[in-house]
Amino acid sequence: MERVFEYLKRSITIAWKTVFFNFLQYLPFFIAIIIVQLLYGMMTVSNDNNNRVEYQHVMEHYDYHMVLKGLNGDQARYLLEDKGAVFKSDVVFDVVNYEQYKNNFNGEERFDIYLRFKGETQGELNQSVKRFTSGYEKALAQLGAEGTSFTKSITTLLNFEKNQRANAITFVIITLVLLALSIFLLTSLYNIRINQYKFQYGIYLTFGADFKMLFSTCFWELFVIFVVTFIPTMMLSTFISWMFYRVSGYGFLFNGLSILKTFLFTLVVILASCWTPMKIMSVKDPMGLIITEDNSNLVTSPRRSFNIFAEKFPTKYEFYSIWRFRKYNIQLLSSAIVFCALFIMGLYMADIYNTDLNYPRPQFEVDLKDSGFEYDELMSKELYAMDGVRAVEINDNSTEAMDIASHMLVKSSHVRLFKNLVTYSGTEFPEAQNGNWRVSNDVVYTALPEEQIQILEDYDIKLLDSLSSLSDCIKDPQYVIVGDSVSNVPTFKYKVGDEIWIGVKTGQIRSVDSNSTGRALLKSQVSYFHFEYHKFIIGAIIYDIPSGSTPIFMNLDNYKTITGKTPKATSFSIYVDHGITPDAVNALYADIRDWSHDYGDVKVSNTDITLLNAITRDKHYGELYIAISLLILCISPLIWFFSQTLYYTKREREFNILQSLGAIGKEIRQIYLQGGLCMATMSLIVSIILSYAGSYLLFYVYNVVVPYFTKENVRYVFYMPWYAILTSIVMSVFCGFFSTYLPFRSYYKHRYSLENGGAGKEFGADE
Amino acid sequence: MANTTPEYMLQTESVIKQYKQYDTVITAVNRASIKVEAGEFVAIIGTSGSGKSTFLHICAGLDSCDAGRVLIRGQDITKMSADELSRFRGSNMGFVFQRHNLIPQFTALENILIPTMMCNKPELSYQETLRRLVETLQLTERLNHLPSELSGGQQQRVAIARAMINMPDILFADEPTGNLDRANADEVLKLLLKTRQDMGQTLIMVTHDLSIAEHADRIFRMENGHLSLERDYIGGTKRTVTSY
Repeated sequence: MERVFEYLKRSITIAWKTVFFNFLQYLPFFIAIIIVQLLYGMMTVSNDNNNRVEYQHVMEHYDYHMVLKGLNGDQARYLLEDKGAVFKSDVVFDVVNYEQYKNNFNGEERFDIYLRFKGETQGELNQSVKRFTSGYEKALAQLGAEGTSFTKSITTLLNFEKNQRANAITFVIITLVLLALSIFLLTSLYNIRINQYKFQYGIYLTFGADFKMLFSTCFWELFVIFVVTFIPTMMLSTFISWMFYRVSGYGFLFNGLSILKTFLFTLVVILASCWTPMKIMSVKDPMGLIITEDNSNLVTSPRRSFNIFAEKFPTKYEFYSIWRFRKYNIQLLSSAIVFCALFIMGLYMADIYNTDLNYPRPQFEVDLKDSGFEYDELMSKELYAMDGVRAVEINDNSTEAMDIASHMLVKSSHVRLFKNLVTYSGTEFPEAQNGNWRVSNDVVYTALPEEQIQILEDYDIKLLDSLSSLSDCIKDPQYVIVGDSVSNVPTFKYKVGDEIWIGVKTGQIRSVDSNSTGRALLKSQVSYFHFEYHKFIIGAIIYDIPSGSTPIFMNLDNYKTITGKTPKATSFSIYVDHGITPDAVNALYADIRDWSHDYGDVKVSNTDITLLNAITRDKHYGELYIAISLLILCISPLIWFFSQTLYYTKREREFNILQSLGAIGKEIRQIYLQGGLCMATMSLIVSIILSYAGSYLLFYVYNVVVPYFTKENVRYVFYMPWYAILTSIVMSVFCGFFSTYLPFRSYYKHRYSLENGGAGKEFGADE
Repeated sequence: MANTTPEYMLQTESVIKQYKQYDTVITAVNRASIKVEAGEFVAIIGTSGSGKSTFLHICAGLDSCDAGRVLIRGQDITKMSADELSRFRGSNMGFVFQRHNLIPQFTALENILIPTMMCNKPELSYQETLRRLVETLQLTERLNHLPSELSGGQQQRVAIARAMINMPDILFADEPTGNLDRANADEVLKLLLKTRQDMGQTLIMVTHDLSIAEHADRIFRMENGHLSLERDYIGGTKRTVTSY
């Protein structure tokens, strides 16, 4: 024990002296470790607060776990008198509230009963629900008269712990991403340091240093920095998180575990960051490191020499040097600018988060199937007359083209570049024999009654000039309203007034291979089926409508012609006004349920979207993403200045040689300026490319990959966030230039002092 | 006062160079004076730490002196600004360092040509000079190699070619064979002397190798910063050369 204590004391003392006697050399590591701790500290403090905010929101709005709607009198009494319980201790729920009403359609008495299950933990609650389902529900079913049924809705309160588990999993994933990012940052810094100090490491290895020694030296140095910065950084990250949450009105929670989590996180980061570079270093041949004293390790071998006869010095000199040091320059550009791209991706994420939050989602789902009614004009009037109803959308008036072996035919000039649609190869459409037409069955046909048009008004729509409104468009049978995307990715570039053709299957020459799918299936259908083609003019295009398939809206007659189906309207979604409060939603819910009693067995369910949005808004992920992005942006100049300062310090000897050969101060400055301008230009190009690539990657993931799993198409428009890109470009150009130019200032001052006191030493003299 | 004495390629007058280390003042060069005629080969010998390299650096304008004057073809280089001195050095002087000091990212050929980028002399036929140097120094096969891909002897030959490419009037060499084995040292010396002979330059060389110094017209000894004539022109020997 004493030996361990002695070892710790000695290691920490040595590391302390090394770090603080060479503070400037270690400054980048101080900054990097502060950034790592801030990133994780903010995340963990925010996560604790998010859980609490969610809980408080849910508790404010729900004191029940389940609501049973449309119970008859026997069923209601069974529950109210708790007849299912064998013993008093066997009670699995409390009735929080009940409502009695008369169904205006058939005059029957109905009850809605609100239940809160017994149990403190999710496990106990689940047990209660299980016993309720197996015991009470069975009995309720037996008590129900034939032809009547009740509905069961679960509230967010019951799912709270389940949501918490999902939050915990998300937190673990974010922790792993931050871990990878932090290790990448510190390893990059260590690699920069190692690259410039290979000579010293070569000497250490020559005289007996091994991995254990290199690793422990490196680790204890970073550990000292970590310990010194930990408390202030933790305080700062808590303060930043407090700034986010103070506006929500739910107070602020600080959990002591956050300190432990951040401590362990940073410890893992520094252990991993030291391990790899030191392991690689320890297995190198010492001589291979020693000979790198002159930067030759950073030089890429040429196949031939440049012809530098009569070239202008120093313009060409530095171009040649940059080319020969390309390995170093590429490493620097990629590692520094990748953080700029991550910054842009972070802001893009914040934007996606806001888009998602404001995305129109239905508040209520209404099912008319058991009532025998269909949605009609009267219902429409009644619903739109209610306060808070913004739009009603019918859900069962659509047909996927591939389900009826139909397809859309468009000119190839109306398809965007790189969109690999099937070329029309059939014989039945005479105009399409020249190979310039494409077919797509990623299309969904939707019947759009006039009273439904409001649902489209939220979108970005381009209407044909000759039409005065969408209503005119949908009334005229020659027009359709179309989207321009497949899987939320813009695919078509047709304009309003252009023509599209829709192929309706009328028969077949032979059947197609039942195993074929996708493009192969469509090709076979076009070749072996008979089609009747219907021409439509594009009356309006919706540019931002979410869609898996391209939507084509048409009037009811056209819909019947194309699909052969009569559109139904037995289920619909109700959207509420923007900015409506959860309390107003509750009032509207009561109104809609009252309204539903006039139509018999109508099922109304609440999606809780307003409450869920309020919870999400109060989690302040947008602000958190922005704060994390800004921190990530700070990493870029750190890498630029650290790497370039070391690099140019090592090149000072080269500039001294040039002076001995006749170069004057102005020319040396021009070399630095050339280097700075080159790096600024390259970083400008690379940062634009990486930013674009990063943003498009996120766009693709959220528009195509995520909907595949969530089955919900939310349309995120691809754009380059100009303010973020501008920041990134300015940052890259600034760093590229000044990280080169500032070492020159230092060199220039140093240069005169050398000449006045021992330049010869720099030129390689032994004396 | 007639400062300029054109008949001398190099003339130093009471050059003093001191270094301060804490409270101690070390006089590296103590009132060193020398006169070297055009085309002459002068060797400066002395023990390690005697101040010979410092004196050579001062003569070549690579280091400044605390007192005294250094005249190259009558021009006082101690009065020149840093930039004037750089240009003067590039146009009139060549320097061969003990540690070669080649630029790592440029090939042998590019290293040789770098002085031509800085102090282009249109009157010179560089192509011809380069051809002669490369041939004489036997570098033809290694021109497209980086310094890290060359041996010590080859690097030193590249350094000599670089010092010669601008056809300087005076060539300074600081122990040019110090890092080489005997065979390589002899080879480099032979090539250096041959090149010098072809181009007719003045050569000032610092060395502690007597066998090399013996090829010089005159030998000077540096001892504790004091410069003294060790051996005058052949036929006029004043003292016996001692071994180190």
